[in-house]
Amino acid sequence: MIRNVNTDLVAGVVGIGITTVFWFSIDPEIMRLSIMFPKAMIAILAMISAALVVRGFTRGAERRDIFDVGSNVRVLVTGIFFFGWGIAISYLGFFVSSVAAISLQALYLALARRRVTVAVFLLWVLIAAGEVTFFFLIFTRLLHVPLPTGWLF
Amino acid sequence: MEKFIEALVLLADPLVILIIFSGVSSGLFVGAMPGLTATMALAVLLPFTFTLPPLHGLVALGAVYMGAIYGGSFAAILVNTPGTPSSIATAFEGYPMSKKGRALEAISIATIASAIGGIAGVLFLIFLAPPLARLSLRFGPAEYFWVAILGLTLIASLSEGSILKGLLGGAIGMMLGTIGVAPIGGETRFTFGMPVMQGGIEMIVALIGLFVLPELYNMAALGRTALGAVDVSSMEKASFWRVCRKVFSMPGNLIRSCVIGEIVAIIPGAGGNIANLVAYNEAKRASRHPERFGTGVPEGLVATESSNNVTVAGSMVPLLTLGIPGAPPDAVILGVLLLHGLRPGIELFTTSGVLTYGFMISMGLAAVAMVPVGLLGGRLIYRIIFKTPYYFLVPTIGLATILGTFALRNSISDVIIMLILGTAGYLLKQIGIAPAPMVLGLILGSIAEVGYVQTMLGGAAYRYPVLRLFENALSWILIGLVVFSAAWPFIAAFVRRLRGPSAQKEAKE
Repeated sequence: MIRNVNTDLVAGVVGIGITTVFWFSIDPEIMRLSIMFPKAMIAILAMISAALVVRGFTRGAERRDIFDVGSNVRVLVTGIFFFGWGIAISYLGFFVSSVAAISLQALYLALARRRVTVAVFLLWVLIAAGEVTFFFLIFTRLLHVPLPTGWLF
Repeated sequence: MEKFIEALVLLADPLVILIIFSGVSSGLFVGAMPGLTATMALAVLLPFTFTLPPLHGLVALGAVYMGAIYGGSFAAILVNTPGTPSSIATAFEGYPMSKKGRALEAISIATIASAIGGIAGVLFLIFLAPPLARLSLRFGPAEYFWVAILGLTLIASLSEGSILKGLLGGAIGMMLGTIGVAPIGGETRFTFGMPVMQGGIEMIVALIGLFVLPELYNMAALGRTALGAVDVSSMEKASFWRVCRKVFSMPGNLIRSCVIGEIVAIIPGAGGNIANLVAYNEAKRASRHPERFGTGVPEGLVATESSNNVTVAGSMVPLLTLGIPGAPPDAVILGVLLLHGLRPGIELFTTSGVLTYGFMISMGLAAVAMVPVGLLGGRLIYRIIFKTPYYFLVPTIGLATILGTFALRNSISDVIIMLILGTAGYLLKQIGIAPAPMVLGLILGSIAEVGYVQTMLGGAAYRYPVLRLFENALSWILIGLVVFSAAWPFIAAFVRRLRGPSAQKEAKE
């Protein structure tokens, strides 16, 4: 996998991509007052992106190593955990999803460093439950934030 | 003077002192939690103040406000996550210091600088409230637009390497800020067919996602926390007197940052979130070694923490004199004032002078209380974070961020948006687009849009409405600052070239 890339060029292309998405999302029937500023910003975004693309083809273009620190697989799995957690809250409720997510994520990340026995994992589940209960009580009782409910509560 | 002394006597009550310490401690806790803002802390406290006498209620609110703004620095320093938007720039220097094992030193510096800022804000409030309030009235839509543009030019200098990438990040942030209902016009834009996008992207949601998630991904990738163990020399450097000497050894930086904090604070709508970035940028610009900024420089930390705490009392200037909340938390304080029948204006300083001065002085006392509370609390929080294994720290911080994001609007959609932005932030960081310009763009976007569109509307009768942007002297002062700010990197490079190879070598080192 090539990790040393021309970041000016990549950033410029990303900028052009974002510009395109916003440009084609403009509702043609929208009033001038509501779109005056976004149109100006889209033009500015396009200019900056174009400048980056041009610089990407010059000798002074910035090159750097990307995704070169640690395990990218762990990053990917951690991301999946977070998204899964965020989605599961709606279905399982805050408490159950959070205890499950914290324990499983801790197990996955710990396995990169050490052996984890069933007893240790069960202890972690208890710690996670205590932690979530602490936050649950602060938010629901003190801050009066209605956290999503599902299984159990 | 008589009222001032009377207020001092009223504050010499053990109960008031207890309220101040409790307020600062709870504010510190709230501020240290990403997603929990000072506004939220004050709003939660509000019902409890109904039963308290007016002075005690206001003292509690002032202490929580002061503690929350300061508490934001803890998370910024220890986990690179600004606890509140007022500590965005604190993470730029505080976190690199932590990575080098200088976390306690960074916390101590932030504590002393915050206390100085808090006290300076109170002094500004007591002595300069009326003239500054008159100045704030001169800021119209055009001036707000130029303030936002000034912020945009600061984005360029805040970017880690390339100015263009910094500007790209700022522009992306501004575009994200246009999602949802237009502030003027009222139509929805860029919802991409998703009703949840109608509410737009909440700034705190973006802040949490863009700053926290990339750091959690980094921890997961590395298989350890990025926090360095405190070394013995750093422990010595973190001692109270050494830190005091260090902070007071940069009087120019302190004074400049406090003045910036006060000027930003009196502009309604602009608070610590803008003050800390402007002060950081100016500290970098004034430094003899600007190239060292971003690697853990105490000067930067002093600038951000002193300026953001000035804004706490500073933003009371337009509130107490004109009834205009300088920052969102001030709206809660305005509510308490009105609840007790106290109307902002000259009467607040005459008829209710004892109460008003008591409130002002109590904020100064809260700033002083931050020193013992912060130094002890800081060491405790550091130990907790440092001793927690990384595999528990990652999901625990994840829990705090998900909760903090959800609590803003009780919305799971916000949580998903936060996760998407955070993941995008991680990817963009790989190609050199830092999160700070994007967040700043998001903050400034709405200010710029309202200023721009209102100016155009105001100039509808003109042949060229755009000329309204250049009509008055204050606009020209701001334009001058914009030009100077944009040109500064080139001027600095030119000066370095003039100074010869030795200066360039020094800059590289």
